Amino acid sequence: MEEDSGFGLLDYMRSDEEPELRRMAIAMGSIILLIFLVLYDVLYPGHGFPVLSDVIPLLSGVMDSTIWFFILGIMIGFFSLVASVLVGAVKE
Amino acid sequence: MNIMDTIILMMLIFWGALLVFAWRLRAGLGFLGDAVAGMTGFMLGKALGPGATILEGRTGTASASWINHGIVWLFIGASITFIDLWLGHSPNALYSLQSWSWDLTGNAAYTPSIMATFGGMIMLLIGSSLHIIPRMADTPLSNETNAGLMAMVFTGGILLFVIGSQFQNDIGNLIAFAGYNIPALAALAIIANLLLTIRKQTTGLEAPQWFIIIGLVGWFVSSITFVVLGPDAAPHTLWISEQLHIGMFLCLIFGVVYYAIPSTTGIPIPSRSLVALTLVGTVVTVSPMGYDPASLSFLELAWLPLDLGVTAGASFPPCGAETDCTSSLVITTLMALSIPVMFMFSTNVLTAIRRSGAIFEDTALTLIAFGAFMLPIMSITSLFTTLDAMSGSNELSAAIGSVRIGAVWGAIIPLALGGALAIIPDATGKDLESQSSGIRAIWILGLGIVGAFMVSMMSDFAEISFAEAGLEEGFSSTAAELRPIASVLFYGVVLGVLFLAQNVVRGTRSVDTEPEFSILGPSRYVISGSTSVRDLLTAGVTLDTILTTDDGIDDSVGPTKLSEEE
Repeated sequence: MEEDSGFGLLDYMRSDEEPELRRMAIAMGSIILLIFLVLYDVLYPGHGFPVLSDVIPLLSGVMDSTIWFFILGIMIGFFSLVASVLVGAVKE
Repeated sequence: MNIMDTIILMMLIFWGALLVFAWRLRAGLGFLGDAVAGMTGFMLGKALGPGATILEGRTGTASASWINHGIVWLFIGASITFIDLWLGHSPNALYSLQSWSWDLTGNAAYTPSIMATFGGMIMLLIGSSLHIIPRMADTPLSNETNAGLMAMVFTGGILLFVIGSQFQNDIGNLIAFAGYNIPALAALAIIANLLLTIRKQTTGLEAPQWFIIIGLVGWFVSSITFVVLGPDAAPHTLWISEQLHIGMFLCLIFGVVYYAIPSTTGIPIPSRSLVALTLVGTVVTVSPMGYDPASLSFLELAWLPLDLGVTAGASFPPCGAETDCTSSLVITTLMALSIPVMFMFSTNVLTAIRRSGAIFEDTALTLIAFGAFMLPIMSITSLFTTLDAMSGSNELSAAIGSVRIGAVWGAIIPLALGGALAIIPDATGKDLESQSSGIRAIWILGLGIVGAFMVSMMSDFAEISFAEAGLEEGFSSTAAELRPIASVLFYGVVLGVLFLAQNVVRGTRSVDTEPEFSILGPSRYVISGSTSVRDLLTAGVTLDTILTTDDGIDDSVGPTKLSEEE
């Protein structure tokens, strides 16, 4: 380790624990998506989003109860469980 | 035949059949004879033809298969129970599915929730039994391939029931009936398999083996007793039979937990006499837990062709000057007697887990401790609501559904799931993926069920108060506001079971799959400080255990060290 005659900042700035690449990619993706949405709204005010604005009205009247959010969670959980079983079976 | 005679006759047949079975079992299953045993072995193996070769039949695969199927069904059961709770306060929440001709009204969510929940629980318990019985008998399972195959059959049966219950017509009912009975046949094959296994056992049966065999056989005996007494007695025998089912499931659970704790911690169950009393008590008494007249819709599908003529919940006459209330007294006494049995089990188990110091460190033991803590509480609560309903008072009828869910998901399922989780590393050779995420899942599950139970009880009592005030035409807005909160809190149970299931299926292969503890007691034992012989015996030390002292080196603050030397 180099000598740091100041406030010991170098020690703090050189961490050995880098964040996982996967998490970084997800975080960066989310930020870019947010920036794109804000930019789109600034550049085309009052216009619906392409594709999304056409699809969402199709779901109104179908998913109009809060229970659907919970069911969505259950479905994601179930499929992640099935995926884990399949991955485990293939791996072994 | 009057009601009293019916109830007493039913209990006498149930006790008599189990007593004769236990007596013959104690004599070493010689009564099966070589011819019967050979024939049963043939039926389980070669008679299946090509089916017998579907699975590889490696040792331990059947147990792992049953446990994995069971935990997935338990997650599905929790999910359907959540949907049923939600539809309780918002009946039209899923009306859009009607455009697919899927009508989720009436009992369309309730009946599959019972089948998936109890089916998953039974699968977990059978999976654990398939490991415990051969291991304690020191002999391989009689037919591993058949046992593995039966897991698929059992799963197929539950799936059929769930599908059949969604078609509310004659064909759907018939499919559901087939779906209910196919798992029963699979369980029968498992019983035969286990009996053939213990037939090779050279030593006497251990306590967990007694619990498991009596629990599985008693499950069938209670159903047979109900059928034998005929449709005239059905309005009473049906419900008593269902309560005996719950008692026998508890017997199975106790057996699994009594094995799981010593095998995981190396610390034996503190009191052997309490273990024996629990076994006798579970068989002799009737459990008040899980009773709900609403489950008639489920039972109608399960017993479809018998045409029971049962249209309401159990009702025993209350005592009066002109009324014979002996049947009420018999049932009340048998149900009240089950409470001390629950306390015996709970005390024994919680003491063992506390001594191990593994609570909040080991997922399985923490879940067992949670279930053991909740068991007496939910038993007493169930006693009030069940007896209130059976005596015809119906003052607490609004709370009976909440108490049923609290008893099932707060006590029965955590014990069964915890027992199976403790056995998984030994049975499958795979550890849980992460103990810390397992503990987190238990927090979510525990807070979910306790919160859902308390809030739904608040809602029920608001409704009861409203009715008592004579406002029968109105509806308590407080009750209506609390119900959605209870449903959302129950979602914690769904998430808790999901995270535990993921933890199991993503488990890693463990290095050491050998158990650390023999059921006969620890081989070495460390004494710290002064100890009485009573304490040593309570901790399970036997005449052959080698005692060593720690010479007072460890002066750190912490729980008293009574654990086996590592």
